Amino acid sequence: MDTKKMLALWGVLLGGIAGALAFFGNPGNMAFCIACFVRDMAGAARFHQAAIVQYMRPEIMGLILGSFAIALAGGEYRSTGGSSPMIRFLLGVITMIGALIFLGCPLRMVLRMAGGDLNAYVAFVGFGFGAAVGSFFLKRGFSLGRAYDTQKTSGYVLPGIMALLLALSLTTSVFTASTEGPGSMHAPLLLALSGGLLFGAIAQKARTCFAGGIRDAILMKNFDLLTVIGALFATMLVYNVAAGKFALGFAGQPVAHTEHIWNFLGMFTVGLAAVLAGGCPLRQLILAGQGSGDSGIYVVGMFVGAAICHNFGLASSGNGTTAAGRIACVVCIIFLLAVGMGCRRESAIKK
Amino acid sequence: MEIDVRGLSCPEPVLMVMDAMDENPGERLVVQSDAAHTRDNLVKLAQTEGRKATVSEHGRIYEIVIE
Repeated sequence: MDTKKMLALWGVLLGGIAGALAFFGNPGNMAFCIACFVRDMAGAARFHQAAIVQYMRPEIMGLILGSFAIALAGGEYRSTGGSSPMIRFLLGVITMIGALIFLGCPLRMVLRMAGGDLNAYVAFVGFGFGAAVGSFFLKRGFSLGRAYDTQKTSGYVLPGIMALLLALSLTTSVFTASTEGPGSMHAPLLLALSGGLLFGAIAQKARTCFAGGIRDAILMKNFDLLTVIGALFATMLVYNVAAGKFALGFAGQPVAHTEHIWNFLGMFTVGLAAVLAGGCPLRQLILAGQGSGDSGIYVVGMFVGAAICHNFGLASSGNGTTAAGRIACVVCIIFLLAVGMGCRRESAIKK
Repeated sequence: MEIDVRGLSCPEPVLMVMDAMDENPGERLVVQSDAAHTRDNLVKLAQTEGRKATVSEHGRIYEIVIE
């Protein structure tokens, strides 16, 4: 099978997993969302008190553990770190702020698009613009610097924490779980975990990245990563139409709002932050699983960002954005532009 | 020409090698990388540009020779 067909097959499998998770209980057009699920986990551990979005999502634990396992098995595990970790921490926080203003990460954006939610198409344009601005900075020589080898065990920490969270989820009731709202809607634990493991393994193999897809198309005229995402979209579109869940329109979409400018700017923020960080939220979780301490710090930033969003009223809801969220979004964009202009690459050429 | 792209985030290695190809047409490039996805991307880039890429592994480092 040639590369393009293989990549399309990976995308169909990813879409199939998302469809199955929706079928077995995850919120309809939130079948798999990195930002929403990390936010739910932060809530389950009481980092924030938003009662409707608290659940220790096995998909996220599975995703990181799946990537970890397949990277170890394939000899691609590398424990590294040291590429501007504190900037990456802030990129994680900012990604979460942007995502919770739109209400979804790039993965959920594509799932919402496949469900006919036109607000997600507005956000997609914003995400594309953000990725394009990030690509412009890259072309001008943007870099967060090199990562270096760390102690091999350093890369085990995040997968280890995920395994611990999973064990606690299975054996105790220490984590809070929503009784209503999106947090209360979930596929059975073992199914969600299996879906996450498989999704993580495939995403690691296929190098799936939403920001990377747009970035590679702009900078290298390479459409490999977009092929995976296109196939994922098509699969979910078929699922939604077949299941009678496809509803074209702006208003009345589940867990979504219709403020176009903020849907655009929220995902502009995510697209720009993702390109500066070297990958979208999904890709960061995968890289963290395969040993990158820098991506691990970004993931921790997402957890902290989720808590900030709900503790200080930055997150949007079905009713729309908040004043605090809008101010935070603008501040985040200014910060990202400053980072993009300020961090330059050193020459690596030895003649 | 040798290019050390170890530890750099995507897609910096590919951009650097693209620049080196543009500035030094036809020159033999020896690229050192520590990431499998970078290795794959560089091989793909070489193929797109109609160049030959040979990969060898030295411990934890991949060496990609583009001719």
